[in-house]
Amino acid sequence: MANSLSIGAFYNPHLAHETLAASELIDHLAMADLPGQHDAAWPEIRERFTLLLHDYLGQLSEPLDEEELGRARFLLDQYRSPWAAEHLQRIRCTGSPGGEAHRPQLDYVFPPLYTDDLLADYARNARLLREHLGVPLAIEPIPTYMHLDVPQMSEPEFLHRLCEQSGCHLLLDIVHTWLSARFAGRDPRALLLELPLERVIEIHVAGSAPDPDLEEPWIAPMLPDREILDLAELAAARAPGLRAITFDAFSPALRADTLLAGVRLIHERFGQNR
Amino acid sequence: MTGRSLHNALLAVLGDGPLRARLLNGDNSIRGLLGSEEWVALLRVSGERLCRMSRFLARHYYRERIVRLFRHVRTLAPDTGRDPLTVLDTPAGRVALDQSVLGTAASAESVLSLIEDYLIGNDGAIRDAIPYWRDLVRYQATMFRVEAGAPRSGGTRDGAPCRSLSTRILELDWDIPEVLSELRKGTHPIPPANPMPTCLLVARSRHGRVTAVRCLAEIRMLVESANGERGVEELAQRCKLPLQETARFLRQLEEIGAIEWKAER
Repeated sequence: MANSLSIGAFYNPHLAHETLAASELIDHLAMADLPGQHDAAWPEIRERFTLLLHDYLGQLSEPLDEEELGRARFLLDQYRSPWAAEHLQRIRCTGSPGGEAHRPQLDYVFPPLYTDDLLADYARNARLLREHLGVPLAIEPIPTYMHLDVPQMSEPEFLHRLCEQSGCHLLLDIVHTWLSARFAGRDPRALLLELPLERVIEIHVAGSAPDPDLEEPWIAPMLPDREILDLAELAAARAPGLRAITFDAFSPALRADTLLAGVRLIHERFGQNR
Repeated sequence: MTGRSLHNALLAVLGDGPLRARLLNGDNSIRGLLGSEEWVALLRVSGERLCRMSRFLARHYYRERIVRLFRHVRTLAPDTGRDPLTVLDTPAGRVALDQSVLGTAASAESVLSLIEDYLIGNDGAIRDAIPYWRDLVRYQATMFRVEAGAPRSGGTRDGAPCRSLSTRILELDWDIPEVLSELRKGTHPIPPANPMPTCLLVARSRHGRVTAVRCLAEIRMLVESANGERGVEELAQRCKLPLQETARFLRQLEEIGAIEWKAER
């Protein structure tokens, strides 16, 4: 990947042909899943685009085991990804009093608590993963919908300390930040400016839609609105290490026109019209 | 209480409907399960928000599985008018989500039973247009069931081969693998098919990957005879297979998760 800002999207296998046809518009593809054996377009996709590893590698509140480390290495090699990304999430219990019988795994992003003990664990395990991979590791925070009344750091403080202690970068999802601010009753611009923006290597931009379960908005594979694009521009202006902006839409229901319109919107906003 | 222990307790109640109901009812007999301080901290959380988040997470959990494991049925949804995802939006679907324990076979079975009823109820017109419809539904339901099945018990090659608990043998009246191949090409809105008795072996690997393969008679016998008591030689004799070939089949079956090894004979 060249040093200039790369603009891209997620790889949606059902839109492989449209993605290939738009290769002049799309610099990179973020990879959420390893393409299946029936994906005939995969060899050409792999050849044509810079690929960014964005798969689930493991839960960083625990050390990744040999198998997880091996899989992370395998994916990095498959994609020849210039950096790797992992969510700042916690989706399964470990060492809980209930034992094995009560260990549901959520299978969807869910943030940890921002406590000292978890910070130490995340920092140690993220550093180990980063060192194992030998490329930058970008951590992507998740919005906190449920606030627990216990002593915790703020999200920005946790992220500053995590990046500092682990040597990791930040993958900043602008809608996540907007949602975090909304759920905490804060101004999104003010919250954004408290984040360690100097650590941002990649930005994700997408839309949001009302979620009937949460009765709040949630991230959706839709076009970003003006507020989200404004926030992205604000973040980008203060992120000297920013290398990529990705239209964060990954869904079997995503249509090609939405995918391409999302990438074009980012090009327009960041002054790289093609 | 640590951040980790409290978060563990939070994840437990988010992913376990009955446990969550006991917490919200103030049932202090679950203090031991969650931790006493953790139980107190969780009681201070908004119950409404806890329930909303739980349903949101359960919906994502089962939606992801329906999209992946019922994808061929969903491909035909424009023709059949039946998308299994809509089940999650019904009153019964919402109850199933709220009462689910994520990751358990029992909760998967509750969701699956709603999906099967929805797909095959009053399906005469669909079967007129797609004669293999019920076989296709059975195939996809089996994939869903096998993925949610009991975890592998492990073991080493020193023991005896044993059929894994989640492994299923599926007998169909139509050549469903051929239909799937056509559906993947996307060339026909409704692929044609010929009736042909077809036996499939469906298994889940140690990494959770579900595989369906055609099952020849000798493979079926091998899988059904592998009870954790018979050694490789005995299985070879029983299935009338050469010893080397039996060992090779067992290795392949182990790879897809159909066979595991019982440590002690």
